[in-house]
This record gives sequence, structure tokens and C-alpha cells, in this order.
Amino acid sequence: MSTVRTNIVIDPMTRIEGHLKIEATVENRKVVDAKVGGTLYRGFEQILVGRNPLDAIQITQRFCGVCPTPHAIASAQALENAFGIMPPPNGRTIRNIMQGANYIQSHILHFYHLAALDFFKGPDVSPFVPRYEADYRLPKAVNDALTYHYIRAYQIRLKAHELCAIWAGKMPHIASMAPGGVSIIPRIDNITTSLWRLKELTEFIENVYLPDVITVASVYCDYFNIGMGVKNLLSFGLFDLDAEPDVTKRKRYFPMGRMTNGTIETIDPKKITEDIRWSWYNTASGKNPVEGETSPKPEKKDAYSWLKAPRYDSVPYEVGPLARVVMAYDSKSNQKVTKLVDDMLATLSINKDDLYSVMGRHVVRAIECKVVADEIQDMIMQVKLEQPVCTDHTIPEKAEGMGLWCAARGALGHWIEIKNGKIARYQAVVPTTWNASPKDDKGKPGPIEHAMIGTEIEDTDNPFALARIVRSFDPCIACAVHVLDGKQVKQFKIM
Amino acid sequence: MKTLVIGVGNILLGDDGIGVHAVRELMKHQLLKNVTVVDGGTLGIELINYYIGYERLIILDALQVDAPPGTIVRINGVDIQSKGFVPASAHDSTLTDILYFTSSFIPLAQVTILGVVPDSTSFLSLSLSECVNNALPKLIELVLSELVDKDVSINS
Repeated sequence: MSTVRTNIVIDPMTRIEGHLKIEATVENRKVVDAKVGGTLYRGFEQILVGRNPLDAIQITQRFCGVCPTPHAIASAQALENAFGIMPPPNGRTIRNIMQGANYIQSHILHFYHLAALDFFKGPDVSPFVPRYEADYRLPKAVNDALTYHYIRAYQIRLKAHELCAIWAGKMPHIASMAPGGVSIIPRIDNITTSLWRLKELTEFIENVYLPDVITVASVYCDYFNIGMGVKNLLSFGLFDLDAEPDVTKRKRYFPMGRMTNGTIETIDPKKITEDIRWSWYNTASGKNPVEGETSPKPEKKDAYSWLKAPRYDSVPYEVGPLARVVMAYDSKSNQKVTKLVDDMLATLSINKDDLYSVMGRHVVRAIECKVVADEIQDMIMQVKLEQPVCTDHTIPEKAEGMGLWCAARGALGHWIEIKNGKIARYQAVVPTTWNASPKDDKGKPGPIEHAMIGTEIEDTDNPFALARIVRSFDPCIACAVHVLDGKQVKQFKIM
Repeated sequence: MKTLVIGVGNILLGDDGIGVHAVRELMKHQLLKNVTVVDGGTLGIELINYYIGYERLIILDALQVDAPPGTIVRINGVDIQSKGFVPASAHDSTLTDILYFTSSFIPLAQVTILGVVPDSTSFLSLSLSECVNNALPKLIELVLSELVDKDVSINS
């Protein structure tokens, strides 16, 4: 039998954050090779060099409008590490609240506005068409309900943005982050206005988001066996609970750690390296971000991505809600996570190993959204009026700092080097650099590439399974002039 | 009548920002409580949040029709149709498409669009071109008269 070989290219990959190109080589209906390429050069690292270190908190937030909050926090933590200071309890708690609100916003965004349209059919108008016209399995009434929830989710996300902005001054791109804590002085109305918004968010998560995910998961249960991950998980943890200066020893609500072969282990940040064999850079490969460089070479032969390939001890790791929730579940460190995961496994009649899949990622993200909403409710009540929110700092002439945190999409690291009181080097390794990484120097594919390989594709003109796999990782790698076009108008009147 | 006046556009791109310049001007007027004035900027698809919950929408925007720059144009919502524009991402969703699909699920307010034909929307500029700027007072006057028509009293 002769081999039928087809190349599938999806470019741009839509309904994700940013610019991503997907390529798959299909032989006899099976994906045998995959390439995931970031097609947008960021260059923030160069913008930062030579600037006042405090600028990093504001500038790095502009990486993205969906998760500016974690960048602000990771950047502030890198500065605190360099300055030798830690935030007071109030500053820490307020940061956690802002981050929690951002998680809720981001998770709901991802399910309803980015990924769910792979499973329910939106109206037959732009921006819902064109789409892969295949495999929509939901009965009409359910499909209509999901479409209504799609619109409702915009209103709910506004509430989540407001919840963050109550403490952040504004969203996106928060104003109140400072090295040493936050700059907002809490008042009683910050607390009360947060609580009623959170109540509305919690009701949506419990009564709409979680049930919708369960509905989609039970109808598309084959997707618990599609898009299986590398099964190496990595998380820097979430929500600081104490003021331990060493981030690897700090107590966090979701703990820092990594899982390989089912065993949870600690993280040594020195073992994080970035390969650039397949990336459009000409710097040395395999450097730790502490000595990392960003020097673009767009004409580099064979390269296919602006993303570098981060590895821990030379191994690719998946980051995101799956990493945080599975490690919290396996370590039995969080009763609420244990219960919610157990209930979900029972409801859907699946095993824990099924979670390393397209549908597993959706289910786990929804569970995390519920856990985070409950947790920040407690945190809002811990805010102390008239207690300090920030520790003073002085900018050293020479210092190094590292901030390790978790964005909604996964582990986020910022590294700063200060010389003569200015930024001499800045490196960020963001969640999607881990998940959507190209192959490394040894040719080992990144987690999304790995998840695509082996997938069965019946119709190469309709590779919806690949889109579902890629979107399940919530890749986040965007704005414009919007002039109303008169060609869309039947009749008008000149005034 | 619960009314929303919303100006959309990008103020960094010259005449594209006319809608936003207009609402900034309108905010200086004292309007009744049932009139909300919003700077919709470049929110795109997230504008859905502002289309729901009002009985009447007045949208101010730059509008490209075959007429000289600075011409003010009035469109009734019912005359808007989706032209099946294919966006590369949700960031590219057009105002008309958003109105169109939202209206297929939620009864929308009565929609009026007041647009000004732009001169330039392709260069970075914080200011309006002369002809569009000259149209601004008349645009404000037209918005206010739309509001008066619907028994909304105005104190300027």
C-alpha cells in the first residue's frame, strides 16, 4: 500500500491569543509530525534594557491584554528579589485577589469565547463563520443554551475585570502594582464591592460554567483520549501564603513543583534552559534565563518559531491548570481540589489519567476556576484596613532578581539583572513558551506538538481535531482601526 | 427611554476617533439619568456588554460611504446587514457583525448610527482632520436633537 502523505497548515490559528501557525504532516490519516510556530516577534527584552527597573512592572504587562496581572506580579517579585524586600501580608493578599479575579476572567474567556465554539455551533454569521463544518454533536436546545451563555460570558467577564480593577485601579494593565506590595490603600467599599461581584461570578461558575463543561465533556467523551500530553507537569505555584524570601521554599496555595513519571519533585530554577535550534534567534542554545539573550535572526534556515524551547533538565513540560490541579490532587494537599476532582471523575466515569487530554484540560480548568473563586472570597475577608500594603525599597546599583509565578495559562518566570541602577538584562519565560515550544536541540517536540502527533485525521480539509487539541492548551502568544464600512449598509441619509 | 450613546473608534488614528471625540464632548453636557454616554474605544466584540440592557442605542463612529469627508450620515439599525466579512481573529469583528449576531439571540435596542465620513484613518494622529473636526459641533447637535425627540430633556 502506498503511503498517502498530506501537509496541513493552519495559519493563522484563530480563537487563541496572539499569532500561531500550526503544521501537521499526515500519513495514512495519522499525524506523524507537527510544528507549532509563533509568528510574532515580541522583543520586549530589548525595550527594557537601559531603563529604570521600576518600568518593568508596567512594560511587561503589555505582553498581553489577557494576562497583564501575572506579568505585573512576576515582574514585581523579580524586583523584590533583586531589592531584598518582601510585601507585607496585606500587599500579598491584595495581589492574590487581583490574580484570582484575572484567573476567573481568563478561564471563562478561554472556555466560552475561544474553545467552546469547537464543540457548539455559533450563529451562521461572522465572526462564527467560516468554521470547520463537521462534528457538531449537541442537540439544538443545548447548542442554543451554549450560544446564549457565550453572550452572557461577556457580561460575566466584565464583572471579573471590575473585581480586579477595584484593587488594580484599572484593567487591563493594572496600575497599583509596586515592588514591595501594592499602592492601593484598602477601604471598606473595596471589600463590599468585591464581594457582590464575586457572588455573581461564583453563581455563574457553579450554575453555568461547570455544568456546560460537563455537558460538552459527556457528549465529546472521546476527547478524553485525544491530544494526550507529555505527562510531565510543571507549576511555579499560585497565591503566596507567607513572606519566605526564597521563592522555591515559599508556601503557596497551589504548590510549586513538577511531576515526571507520576512523581512530584521540587524545582531548581537553574535547571530551566531555553533551546533555540528551531527558533529565529542566533544566540547560544541551552542557556538558563539568568544568562539568556534575545537576538533575532528572521532569515535563519530551518527555524519555524519566534518561541524558544524551554526545557527543565532537558525535558519538555506541560504547564497550566492541568499541572496545578493534578499536582494538588496527587499530593492530597488541597481537600477542595481532591473533592472536586473525585466528583468530576465519578460524574464523567473517567480515570485520572484521562485528564491529560483535550477534554481533561477543559474540565480541570473549570474546577480550578471554582477553587480560585472560593479562595479569593476568603482572601477578600483577610484584607486589613489601615494596615500597610507596601514595603519601601531602594534600587541597588547592581543586583539580580527572579520572579516565579503562575499565569492562568501556566508557569511564568521573569529574570532581571540590574547594573548601574538600570536594567542590564531582562528575560521572561512565559507559559505558552513551554506549551507551544518548537522542537528542542535534540529534536524532541514541544507539548502541543507532542499532543498533535498520533492524532487521527479523517478529512485533511477539516482538521478540527487539531484545532481542538491546540486550543485545549489555551495558547496565548493583539489591535486595530475599526471603521464602519458603508458597504454593509442598505440605506443611509446624509444629514 | 433608557438610552446609550456610545462612541467607537481609535483616537490614535486621526478621524477614526471621531466617535470618541464626540462622546467626550457630550460628556460636558448635563444629560438626564436615563442617558448613558460611553467611550467604546476599540473594544470590538466586548461591545456586546454595552448593547444589552438599553431600549435605544445611538452609535457614533467614522463611516466610509461615497460622500465627501466630513459628511454626517444617519443610519437606522434595521438597514444594517452582515456582509459576511471574514475576520482573521475576534479582534477584527466589526460593529455591524456584532450587532447582527447579538440581535439574533437577544432583542436589541432601537439602533441609530450617526457617522462622519473620515478623511484620514491610516496615519498616527491624535487630532481630527479639519473637515471632520468642523463636523463635530453639528454631530453633537444631531445627537442632542435625537435625544430631545425621545422626550429626554437636556440642559447644556
